[in-house]
Amino acid sequence: MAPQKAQGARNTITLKGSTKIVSEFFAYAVNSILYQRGIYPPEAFKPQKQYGLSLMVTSDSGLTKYLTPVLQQMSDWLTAGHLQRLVLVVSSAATKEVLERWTFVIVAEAPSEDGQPVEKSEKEIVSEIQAIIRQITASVSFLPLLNDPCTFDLVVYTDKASDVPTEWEDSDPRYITHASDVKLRSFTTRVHKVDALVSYRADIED
Amino acid sequence: MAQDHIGAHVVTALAPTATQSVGNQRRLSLSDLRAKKRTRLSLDAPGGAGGLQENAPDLLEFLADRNDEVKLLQRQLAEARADRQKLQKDLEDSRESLRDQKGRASTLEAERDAVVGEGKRLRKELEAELKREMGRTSTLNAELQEADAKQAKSRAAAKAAEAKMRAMEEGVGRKLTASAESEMIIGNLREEIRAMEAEVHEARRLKAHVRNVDMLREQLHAEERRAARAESSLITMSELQDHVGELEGQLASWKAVSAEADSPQGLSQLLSQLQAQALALKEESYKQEAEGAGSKAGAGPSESLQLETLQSENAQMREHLTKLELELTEQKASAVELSGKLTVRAEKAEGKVKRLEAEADSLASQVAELQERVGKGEYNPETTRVVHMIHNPETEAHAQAQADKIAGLEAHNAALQQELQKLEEASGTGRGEGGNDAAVARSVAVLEAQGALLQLKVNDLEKRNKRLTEVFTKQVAAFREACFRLFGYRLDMNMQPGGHVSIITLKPQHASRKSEELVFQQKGGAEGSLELVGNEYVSRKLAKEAETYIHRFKSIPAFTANLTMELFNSQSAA
Repeated sequence: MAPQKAQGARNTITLKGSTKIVSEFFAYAVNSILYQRGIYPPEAFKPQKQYGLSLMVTSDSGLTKYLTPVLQQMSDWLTAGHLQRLVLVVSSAATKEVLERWTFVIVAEAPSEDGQPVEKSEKEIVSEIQAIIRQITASVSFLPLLNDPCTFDLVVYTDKASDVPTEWEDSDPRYITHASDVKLRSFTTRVHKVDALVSYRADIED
Repeated sequence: MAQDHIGAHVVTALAPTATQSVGNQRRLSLSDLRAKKRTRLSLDAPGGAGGLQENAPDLLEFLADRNDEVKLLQRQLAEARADRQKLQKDLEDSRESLRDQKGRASTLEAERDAVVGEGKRLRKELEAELKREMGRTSTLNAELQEADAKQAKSRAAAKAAEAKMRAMEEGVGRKLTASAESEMIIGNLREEIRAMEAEVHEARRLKAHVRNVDMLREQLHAEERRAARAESSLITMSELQDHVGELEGQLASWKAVSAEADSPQGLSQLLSQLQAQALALKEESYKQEAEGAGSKAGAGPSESLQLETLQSENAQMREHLTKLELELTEQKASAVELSGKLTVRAEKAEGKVKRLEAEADSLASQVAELQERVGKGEYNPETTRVVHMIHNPETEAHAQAQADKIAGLEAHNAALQQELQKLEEASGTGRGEGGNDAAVARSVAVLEAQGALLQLKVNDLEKRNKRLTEVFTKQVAAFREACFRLFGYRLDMNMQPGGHVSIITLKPQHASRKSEELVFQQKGGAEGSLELVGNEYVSRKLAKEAETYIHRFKSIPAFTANLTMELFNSQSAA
């Protein structure tokens, strides 16, 4: 993505700027979840400084090959305003049963009266994102252990009217029966607001 | 009259030369004198025709008479003048008293003005207070009405929300179709809840207003007190009025006195006599008298006019006061009534607020329930589409698992086929040496297939093992470092080859030489007994401590702690 600096004041975030921030966040959040939940082995990740934290980012070529186009497509949908949710589904590799569901709800923030984006400092946004990433890291303490080898899928909720490339297809929403929910923090760029939530299969775990 | 005037002139012309007149003739009336004069003049007329000498003695006599007459008149005039002066003095006195009276009247007026001012001020205050209270009451009423309207609206909204919720719950019962609308409805519901919350907030504000009513009641009490004060001031005012009445009485008597100023002293009669005389004698004096009388007559009416106006004003004031009192009592009554009404309404409003709060709570719990459903990921298929990449890690993993399975099966299949083939060959060629070969080939094939599978597993396990080893090494190093920092000894543990004996070496943090170390021996695994192994350092420096702590009190921690303290002390001392 070409760096799209906000025009004029540094604190004013445009749609493009916001899209960039949100897409970036998705990339780091997905990587963090995959690392924290052990869906890919630790050696498939390398630390990277971001948001004032040391975040694990995958170096696995297969995974990168999958993630890059998905995140690009999401960024496009974000720009068009068609992205509603991104769901990271963690399922058992053997049975395909859904064990965890990480949901990121995207809500377009209403612009201010004069149509100009409201000011919000980047520092503030980064600290909000930092809080969510920390929560993802801390979630290991309450989420049930994943004993079986697991795999994941990224399911996207888009507007009915949005263009869907041929590499994509309709998917099952992949609900979890008997789920427990934990709401995570949110962050907002004043253009997009992102709410995070993790659901997990609660009843059986031993 | 003209004749009188002429006579008067004659008298004045003769007066300076005239001598003292006879005292007993003073009582003669003017008319007598005039009659005498006429008769004598009429007698003179025929005599004048006769001769002057004959008439001379008569004339002299007449002149003497006239002289007497003039003297008498002069005396009377002097007396009249004295009387007039006295009268004038009286008049002056009367004027003086009138002036006094006027002064008193003006003070009375000032007093009255003050009282009127006080009355006006009181009334203004009361009116202002009433207005303020009325204003407050009206705003309260308006707010209450507004609140009522809002509550009605909110109740309607709540009902609508409930209806929607019910519909939704039914829908959810049918699961998939229900999820269709849930999101939208939840959105609406949230909005409604927000509205409800706002309304509850409003209701709370009303509650605060209700509290204000109490404050109002207090203010009312304060006002009643003020009214009482006003009443007391009214009493003082009536006292003042009494005073005014007294003064009025005095004024009236003064008026009476001024009206008939002369009669009590019997002056008026004399004055009229003297006036008549003065008229005959002197026009100027008459004029003066007339002026004096005129001024007296002018002064009387104006004073009475003033008094009348004062009285009327007093009456007006009294009316004013009674009106004010009436208004005050009315105000009090209405205020009490109003506060009672307001209390009732406030209680009602509180009840409504409580009901609305309860409703809001139940709605909030419903919202939470619905939110949980949203958390599951339910969506509206009319607006939302759920998509994913066709090639994703999950499908790949699944495909991989499938492929592995197929490979295994294929290997197995191949092995079985080979076996079958060999069996067929064996059966075809009959039992012979081929049987052995077939068995060997079969087992080789099976083993190959198993070997391939095992190789996969081994690779996997090796990877895992390597990862574990790395983790363990890191963790152990961290643990040892922590022990060293916490307890002051670097710990090394070595297994004796082939045995159950572990050698544990403790190197003190504060040791001055490398050889200063403690060696323990542990026999029989982790729970076996620990023994201090004597070395050169121990026997040279710590024999006594080892004896005391380890052998007598059987406490290795005490021994090591003691050593730590000793080494620390010797180091910090040096």
